[in-house]
Amino acid sequence: MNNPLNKKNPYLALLMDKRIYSLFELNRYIKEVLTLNFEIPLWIEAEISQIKFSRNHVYVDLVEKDDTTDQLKAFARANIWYRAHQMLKTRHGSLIDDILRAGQAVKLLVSVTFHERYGYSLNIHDVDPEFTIGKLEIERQQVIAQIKTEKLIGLNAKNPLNSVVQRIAVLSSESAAGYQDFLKSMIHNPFDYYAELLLYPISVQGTQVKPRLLHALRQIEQQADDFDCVVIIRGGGSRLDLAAFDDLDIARRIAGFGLPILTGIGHEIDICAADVVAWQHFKTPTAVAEFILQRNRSFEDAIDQISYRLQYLVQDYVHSERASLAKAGHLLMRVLHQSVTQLDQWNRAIAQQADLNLNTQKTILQNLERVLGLVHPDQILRRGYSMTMNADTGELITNGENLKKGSKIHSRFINFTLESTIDHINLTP
Amino acid sequence: MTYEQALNELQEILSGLESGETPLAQLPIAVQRAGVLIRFCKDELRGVENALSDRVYDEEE
Repeated sequence: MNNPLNKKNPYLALLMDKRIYSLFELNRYIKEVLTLNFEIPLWIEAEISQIKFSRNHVYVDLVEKDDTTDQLKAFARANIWYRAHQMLKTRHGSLIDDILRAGQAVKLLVSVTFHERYGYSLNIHDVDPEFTIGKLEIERQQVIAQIKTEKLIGLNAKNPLNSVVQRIAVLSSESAAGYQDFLKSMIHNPFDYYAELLLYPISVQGTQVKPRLLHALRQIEQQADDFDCVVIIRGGGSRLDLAAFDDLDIARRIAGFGLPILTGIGHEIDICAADVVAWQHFKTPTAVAEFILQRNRSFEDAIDQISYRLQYLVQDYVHSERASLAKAGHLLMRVLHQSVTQLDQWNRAIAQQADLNLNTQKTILQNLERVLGLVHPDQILRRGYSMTMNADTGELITNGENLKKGSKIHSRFINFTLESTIDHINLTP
Repeated sequence: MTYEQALNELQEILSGLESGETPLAQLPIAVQRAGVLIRFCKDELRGVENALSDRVYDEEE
């Protein structure tokens, strides 16, 4: 850049003049000097600290901060006039909206202007998106490197995710296309699974992402038992849109969070810092919904498998029980039959034995009777014998030694008796 | 009851039957319990209870 003071040294001329200038004159002079020295636009690097869209024009506050202390080193007001803004939109498409945002590092083609009343400002003619993208990429990589240093990857994944995911805290913006996709996929699912979705509204782009997201996570943490997981989703937008999720504080919070956090904030190609530390990250909100539904489906499959297996087992069980019961029945019948036969045999044997015994007894008895009959006194008397008894004592006289002459005796015959008196005793037979 | 508890109990019933540890007398009880658990999981998955109470609510309105 040419130094106007050195080139013509008009300041020196001013000093030499010794006259008193009005403010306007001074400003006009400054304007002339500047205009003269900044005829051609030039590229600058700066950070947007504030941006305001008003009546088709864009008003931007540009700053430069110290790399280490973050202190303000320079400041300038800048404008994008209507026609320049239209041209930028045509040239860069929607990307320009992502670049022209507070906090963004930018490379701008500017011309220097000075107005007597409004002072110094810059007219922006063009923007270099690659610069911003590059800066953000560097920042992203730094954040990811720090995430690795702090060993934050895989931390959230240690939270167990329930086999069935139904109670979901959704962090998104109600108007975000991605949120609508997620809702549609979850609610009108082919399996008719029920889901309880609670939306925690957050910004999905810009500087408000971080405070809102951290606040929502604090709220969720207080009722963590009510949820199976947290889902962070957004959809559409460019890679630059994701930058807000390339934040170390967000990454730390997600990593240390007590519930599984699934993300669907990503881009087809890139993943952001929040993705890296998430329980699992997905390219789109729809993919998150599909994962959840598939997980629930797997659970139901397991239940169905058990159900089929049980059915099979029970049938098998009953069948084999029936078969073994039948077998046991046959066996039982055979044993029973054998027993009955045995019993019959025994019965017969016992009866025979009893008959036999009885007959024997009868014979013995008959013999006895016969013998007894033979020796009965009547039988003997009938044969002509008689019995003689002492008439006084009634004793049977079997021996003559105690008999006396004149004693009365009583003789019994089969059909009569005799009363006699002894008149002679002959002791020799 | 949670889904995990239901699944665990179902697996226990299953392994009891597979190993033949479940006596015949217990079979109807085990099968009935399994049926209850399966029904529970299926109903919960589809929010049958919620749907019913929603309907009741709708009718009250």
